[in-house]
Amino acid sequence: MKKHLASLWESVVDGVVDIGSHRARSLLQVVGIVLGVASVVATFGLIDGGKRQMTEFFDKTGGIRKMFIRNLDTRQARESATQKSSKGLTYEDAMVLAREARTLELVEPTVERRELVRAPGFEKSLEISGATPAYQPMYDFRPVEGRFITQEDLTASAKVVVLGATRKDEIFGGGSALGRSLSLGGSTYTVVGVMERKEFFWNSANDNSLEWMNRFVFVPVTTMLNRLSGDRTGQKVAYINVQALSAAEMDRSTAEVETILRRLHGGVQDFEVINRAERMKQMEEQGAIYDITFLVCGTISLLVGGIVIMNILLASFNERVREVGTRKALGATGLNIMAQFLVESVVVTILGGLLGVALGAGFTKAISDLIQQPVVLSPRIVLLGLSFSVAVGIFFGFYPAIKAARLNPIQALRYE
Amino acid sequence: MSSQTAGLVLTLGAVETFPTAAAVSAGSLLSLTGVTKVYDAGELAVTALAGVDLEIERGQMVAVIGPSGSGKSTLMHILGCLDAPSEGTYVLDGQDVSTLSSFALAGVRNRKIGFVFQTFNLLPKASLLRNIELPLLYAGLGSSDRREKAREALARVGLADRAKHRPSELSGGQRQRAAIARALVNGPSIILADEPTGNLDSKTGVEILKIFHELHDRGETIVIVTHDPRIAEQCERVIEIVDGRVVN
Repeated sequence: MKKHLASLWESVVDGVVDIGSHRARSLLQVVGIVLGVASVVATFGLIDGGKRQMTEFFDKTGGIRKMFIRNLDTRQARESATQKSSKGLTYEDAMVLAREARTLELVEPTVERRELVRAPGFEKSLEISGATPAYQPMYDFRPVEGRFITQEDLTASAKVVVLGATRKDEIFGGGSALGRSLSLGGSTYTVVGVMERKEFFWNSANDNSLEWMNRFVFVPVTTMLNRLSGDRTGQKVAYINVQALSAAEMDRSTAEVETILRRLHGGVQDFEVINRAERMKQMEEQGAIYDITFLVCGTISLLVGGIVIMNILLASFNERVREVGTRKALGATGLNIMAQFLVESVVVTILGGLLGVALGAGFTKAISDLIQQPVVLSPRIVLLGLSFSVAVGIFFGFYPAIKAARLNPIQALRYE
Repeated sequence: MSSQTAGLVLTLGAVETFPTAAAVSAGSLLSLTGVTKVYDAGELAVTALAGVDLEIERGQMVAVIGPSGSGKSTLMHILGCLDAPSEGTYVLDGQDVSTLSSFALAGVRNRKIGFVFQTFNLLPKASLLRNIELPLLYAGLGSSDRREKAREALARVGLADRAKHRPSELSGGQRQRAAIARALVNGPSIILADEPTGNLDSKTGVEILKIFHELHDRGETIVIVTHDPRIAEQCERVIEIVDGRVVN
């Protein structure tokens, strides 16, 4: 038994040596597998890169625990809301949410309004945002100069401004803007902070997707409500961002927010809660469909590669019949011959798989450089590509191997 | 592999591989009793061998002659364990091999029989050394043992300096000598040569025969299948086959 195993192992080694002595044949065999594996690796590299981009974008804009509550602006909702005397989303709603909701970590109402902004050499009507200190942790948005809006600013309805990076350059040019004044709606405000520049590029074809954050002109939300907007009684807010305590319990958080707001709005659903985790899940489900599609394409191209291997094995089969006969006369068993043939296709496919992974990695790198989108080469995909190619090698190598093993030695020796 | 185990393998190999040389006294090496071979091609069954009784002694040099279609190739295949008889028994080296499975027959071919073919049948892309290692490879020997034995066998046929060469770089006579080295390398009980000079000019043929004589002198058992009477008359015994029967 030990002897048989040893001779089988030697057949395997022999098969490997054989590949070296038939370079042209082996090269042809490898081509299909190389391209198949390369295409799988490149495709999944792009898909995974896209997924990582999405996660990164979400992380930079509040993470997946964020929920976005906005006024539902259909005519029907508004009419029925008016009947029930609901005013839409208000600052008061946000205060109640912050007080009552147990599943929320942060609540951030934002009020928006256009105002004339004036500074020395600058005059323009701009969108002003009334915000709370919660905005900073929610978006992980940090000041590079000075500070963000504080609780004291809120209490005092302080006449302070925090500027986004682009706005600051626009209004004050280079140099520090800290402590400088500007006029908002006719009254003077002091700049107490400038925010860091936020950047995110999906790929080179897109502009900075977070440029809107660099264009913020923040004032305390109370200042906005009490001093700037004439509507002190209504206290309407443009939207409320909330952050749930746990990403796993987003559905519970959504339900809680809806229950509280519906009660405050006299039972009318004139708002909608957009749940990021939900969206992420939907996208992942869609992604899974793409994954399967590409996997099917990859499998087909690997199958084609496998058929190429089998074809070449069979085409070169006739010239090897006498060789098989000779080997059998010298004492090779059918198993020895099978091992030798099988190892050839398996080694060829492993080689092809490795080359394919390298080529695919090259592809993804090139694409990544071209469109400036990060591409991820995950070990999962590399392993998938390699194991697929080995499976293909064994599967398509089997038929020629068995055919060779079953050759009658006498007929094989006589074969011309 | 440790040097101790390497030594062990070598010793075992030596005991196993040269049992037929002078040390073993002369006697019947193989015997065929009522061996019949029928090729069943549907309704047209062809009887290639019709009851052959034959004994070959250890150390004999035997020629098998006969016209084409006489059944001498079939006899050769059965002697070489490439084929099993339809009827009758074949005892080789004390073992009845007439009913063995093809897997077991491969082992018998590997250990007991050294083939020499008319067309040499060397692997064209492999070096001589690797060609000669093949039977040892199927015997399950490790690579260092294989190399050593293959070099010894090459030296015995005067090709020690050609180990790295490919068959295509050698003359016909050299190729057949390499093939003889391959037949010898596993220390077989019998060397079966099928028209060994058929593809060689007469001068080279004489050279090859000289090697067979040398091997014979050293106690090897050799069976040469040929239709050349000049070769047959150099052997100590001639077996003539006509219509599937031994006639002399």
